[in-house]
Amino acid sequence: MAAAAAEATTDGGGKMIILISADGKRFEVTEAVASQSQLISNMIEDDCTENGVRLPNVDGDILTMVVDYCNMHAGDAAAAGDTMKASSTEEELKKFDAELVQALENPVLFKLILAANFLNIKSLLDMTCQRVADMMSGKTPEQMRETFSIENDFTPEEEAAIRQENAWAFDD
Amino acid sequence: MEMMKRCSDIQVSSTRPRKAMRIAINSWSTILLRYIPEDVLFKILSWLPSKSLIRFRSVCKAWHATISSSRFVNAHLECSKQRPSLLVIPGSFEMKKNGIRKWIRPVHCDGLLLISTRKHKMMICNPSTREIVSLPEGSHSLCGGMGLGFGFDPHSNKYKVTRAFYQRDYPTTRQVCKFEVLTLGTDAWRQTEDPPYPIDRLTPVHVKGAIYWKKKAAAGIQQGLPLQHPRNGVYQTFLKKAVMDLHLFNYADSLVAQWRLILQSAAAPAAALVTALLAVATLMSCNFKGADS
Repeated sequence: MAAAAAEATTDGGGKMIILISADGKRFEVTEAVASQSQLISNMIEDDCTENGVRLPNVDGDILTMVVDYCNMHAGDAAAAGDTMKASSTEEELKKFDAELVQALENPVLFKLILAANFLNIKSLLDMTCQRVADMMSGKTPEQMRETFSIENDFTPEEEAAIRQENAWAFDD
Repeated sequence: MEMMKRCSDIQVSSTRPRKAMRIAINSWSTILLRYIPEDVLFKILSWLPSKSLIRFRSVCKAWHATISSSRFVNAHLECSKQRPSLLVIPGSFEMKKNGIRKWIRPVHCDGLLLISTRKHKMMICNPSTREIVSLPEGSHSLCGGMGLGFGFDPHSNKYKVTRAFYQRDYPTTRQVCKFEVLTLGTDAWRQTEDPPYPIDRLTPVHVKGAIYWKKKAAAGIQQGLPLQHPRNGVYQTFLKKAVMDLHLFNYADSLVAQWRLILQSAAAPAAALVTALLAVATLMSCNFKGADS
């Protein structure tokens, strides 16, 4: 911890690495910012970020959002010891996060989820999954089947039995 | 509510936009569904409230299996802890013979409630799924209204109920305090090692896999709190000094004890008690090396 903090103060987050999106856009970020992604953090550990990190399943638009998110949240981990600093930015972070997910159209939200899952950024994945769950929570099973193109493979008797078991969950 | 509002919006609008909207929804969802890995869907479902999940069990067999799996239940519990909800319980109950006994303090763990009735029946209630499970009856106690402990034992991955009771010891005919433990999912209470002290009848506190009981007060003074591990009854005593009005709480997964200090005045020695000071202490909750059972 102490060693990492010292390094961060001397050269502002350590080495820079390049992230390359599916459509060839390049993003230069510090290792501290990029290593919020468990995938990239592992690559940094294995010393294979020399020639840039190619992310073939992430579009430039989505990667822009991911990099913004990671830049914004890089303070979290770095300022863990500096509680004053962390608490003063907490409000801003919450506001930033809320605005990020609220503003997204569904297709973008899903793409962001897939990117967070691929890059393994837990906090971003949690936040985006929560947003989808909030949209789903009031829906009926029929609406879920339609939204996710799921075929109902229960017999009518089976379905009726499951509904009967917890009828209270079906009335509003 | 939100859903109803949306339905009424659709009815007001003409059929054309409605059709267009459906196509839009289907196009993004089918494209994305093809790419949404099962583990991502699992994570999304983990953030849903219980009521929605109970409904969504009837979506298809795969969802039913996922939502019913113990792996999912654990993941859902972890997510729920990050977004806790408040359960308000009335302070008093109807004093009917079969009714629920007036609680000294509600006993709960991971959203499950332990309820005992005036007839010594015990049950576990899950308010979010509205499930209730009755527990087998415990040993007869000479002293009624004893507190019950309820907690999760991380070593065995099981919920356990602990209970103190008083029995007559023969041939001395003294009343002795005993402990018994019920592991949820089994149907018999199991006696554990006897507690080192008689136990106070107040509800004990569960913190991180350990249950903290208070020692029975002697003339209004508590001299320590024995500690019981729900698994096999290992005791440790904290607070060796004499205190008054000892209260235990679980605050943010730490044990907090509040008590009044008893100050002996130098001028008026012996029984003259000068009480006033209020002290709050956070005690380390101990990590037990569990023996097997």
